[in-house]
Amino acid sequence: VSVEFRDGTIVLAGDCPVASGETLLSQLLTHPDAIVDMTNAGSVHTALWQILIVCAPRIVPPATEGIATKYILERIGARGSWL
Amino acid sequence: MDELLAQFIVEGRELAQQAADDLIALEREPRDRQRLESAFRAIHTLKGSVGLFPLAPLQTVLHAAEDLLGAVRSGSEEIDIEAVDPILATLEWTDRCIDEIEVSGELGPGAGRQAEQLLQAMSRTPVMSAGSPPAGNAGENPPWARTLFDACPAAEGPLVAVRYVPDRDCFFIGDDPLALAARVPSILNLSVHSREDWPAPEELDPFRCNLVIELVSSAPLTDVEAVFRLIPDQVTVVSQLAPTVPDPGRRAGAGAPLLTMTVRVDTARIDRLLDIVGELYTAKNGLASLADLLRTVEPGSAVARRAAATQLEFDRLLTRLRQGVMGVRMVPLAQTFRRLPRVVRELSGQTGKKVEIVTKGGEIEADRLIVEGLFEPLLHVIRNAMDHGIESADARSAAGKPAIGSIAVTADMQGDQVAIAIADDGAGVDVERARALAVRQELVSADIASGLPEEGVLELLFAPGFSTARSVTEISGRGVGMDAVRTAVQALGGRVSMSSRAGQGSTVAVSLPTSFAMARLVVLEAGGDRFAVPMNAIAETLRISRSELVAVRAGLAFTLRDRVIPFVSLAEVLHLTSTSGESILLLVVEREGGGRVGIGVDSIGEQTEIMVRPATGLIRHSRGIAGTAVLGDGRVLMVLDLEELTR
Repeated sequence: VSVEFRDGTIVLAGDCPVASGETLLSQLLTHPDAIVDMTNAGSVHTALWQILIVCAPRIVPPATEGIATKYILERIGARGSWL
Repeated sequence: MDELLAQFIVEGRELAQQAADDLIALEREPRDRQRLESAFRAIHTLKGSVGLFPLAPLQTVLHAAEDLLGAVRSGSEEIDIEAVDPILATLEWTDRCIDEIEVSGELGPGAGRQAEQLLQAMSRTPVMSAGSPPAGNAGENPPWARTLFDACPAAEGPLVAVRYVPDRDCFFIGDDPLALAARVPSILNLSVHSREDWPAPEELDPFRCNLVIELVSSAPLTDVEAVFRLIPDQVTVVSQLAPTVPDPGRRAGAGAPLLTMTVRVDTARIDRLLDIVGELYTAKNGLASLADLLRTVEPGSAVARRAAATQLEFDRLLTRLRQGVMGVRMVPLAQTFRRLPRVVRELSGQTGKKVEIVTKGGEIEADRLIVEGLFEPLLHVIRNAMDHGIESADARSAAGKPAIGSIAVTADMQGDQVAIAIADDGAGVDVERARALAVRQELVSADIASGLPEEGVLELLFAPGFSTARSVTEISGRGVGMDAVRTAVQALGGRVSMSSRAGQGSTVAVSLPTSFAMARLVVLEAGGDRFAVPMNAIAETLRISRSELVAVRAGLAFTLRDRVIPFVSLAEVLHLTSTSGESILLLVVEREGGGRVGIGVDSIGEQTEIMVRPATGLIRHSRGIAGTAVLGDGRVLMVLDLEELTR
């Protein structure tokens, strides 16, 4: 399971394909204050990044750095000021 | 329609028009560097906007046009006139493409072939055959790329900027745009924007891509392009150009974002506002009668006085509101005038007559519908002038005139009307020939014709069916004559007349309102339908018995105060079935040329103050319809032109 809700945290683990986008969005809508933990996330599909941009939750970044982590993550949380 | 595409349709047309204006000006002034730069910028921006959509043939052609103009720009001081024709053809084709996109959302089936022909035409121009700079590098970098390059000031060597606009449905076909972008080597910076405004999270469609990805890389151009080789239509890749010499035509600080105090609004929204104003007027009429009622029932009472005062205040504010909304609809006449040089240029090609057109007063503003509606009559007048008025170069030289003909379109404010004169320096109207033709075409009897003064003969030129053409030509003489001009101008609430001086030319004078005024209308019924007529068209109303009608020649008439007045039934004129019985309700109408006519209707209803808008769409060419009016309950009434209906 790539997207899971546990103890107030939405956990993204392993590769997160486009199909897991729907789950992520519905969990963020149900738990708007949940933290998204990406520590163990592998490759995360653009569709999920798009959801994170729009919902702008607090995020624990992935351990491995990719371009999305580098250029997008730092800006999530300041939604509205950069998009 | 997709908002971005809708915006492109508006801007695309403006850019194509701008570039065409510049090119036509360049033909006259081949050394005008500013015009050349302006044309180049317009085509460059146009190409950039096209790149946002899957319109490959259009983009390829515009790219070639940009290259061609770029080559011209880097060449000699003067623009090579031969390069102008294919670029103008490209712009005209672009206009047609935009029309197609507006209707169907995509290019027509023949687009690929047409694009190929245009590309060939451009490649045949001398400047292109002499060798051209590499594609895509003509001119300066687009603004988005400059912004990206500017963000990496410390980088060495030329950079490559990428703007990647993934298809909205790209997730469905397995694309992962960020993963793809990550494969670009040596990324120095990357940013992500939304293509359209982000929706609220609960309205987000997780499977629809709304991203625009921009990045800068220090890798070679070919390595970057290789990453996107499967989706070239979604990506623009540009190489950083060496800083160009500042353009003297550009003001200092022009690189900074330009703050304009304007906003682009869909005209449908303004029309909706105008509809609401119309409804408010109907509500106002109700309020006025309520205030009147109170004055009658409780004269002098506090409540009656307050109602009267409130009503006056409401009136005042409503008038201001209407003026405000009408003001928003005002656009300069230049929007129509600027289309004319292209028309003249095209007609010059067809007739072989060289003609220059000058326009003045383009800054005068009028309602958008009036400015747009003016194009068609102007086109007819100019066609007529070029076909019949302006002589061949030989005849002109023989008459001691400059070889190049001239047409001047001049606008002036006269009171609340705008007067537009279209004057040519041609041969003028041959009054005796026109007189003879009118008789031959049975528009007037020989007796009457011989007694007509010159103005009277010129007036006959506006009669339906009048034609002076010796042969049917490509340009005019197809029965679309001055009567079409008069019909179109009258539909806009204006008047048109003509004057002419033998050997010196003709002038067509058009007088138009600048906006649509409020009119007092009477709602009436005929043949089971409801219509409206302007109050001021009606001299009086009366009721007569059917037995009072007598047959006179082909029609009916009745006697009113010892005068015989022709009678027509409105239902019959409109091809409806009249429902009136023995007793006939009559509107007596004063005709423009003198005399009266009685028009039979079934009933007369309420009076209302309402805005009449010119007829558009299907009913535009219908006879006898002056326009439409929206009633307070949303119903649309046809406003009749009784004068025309009973002609």
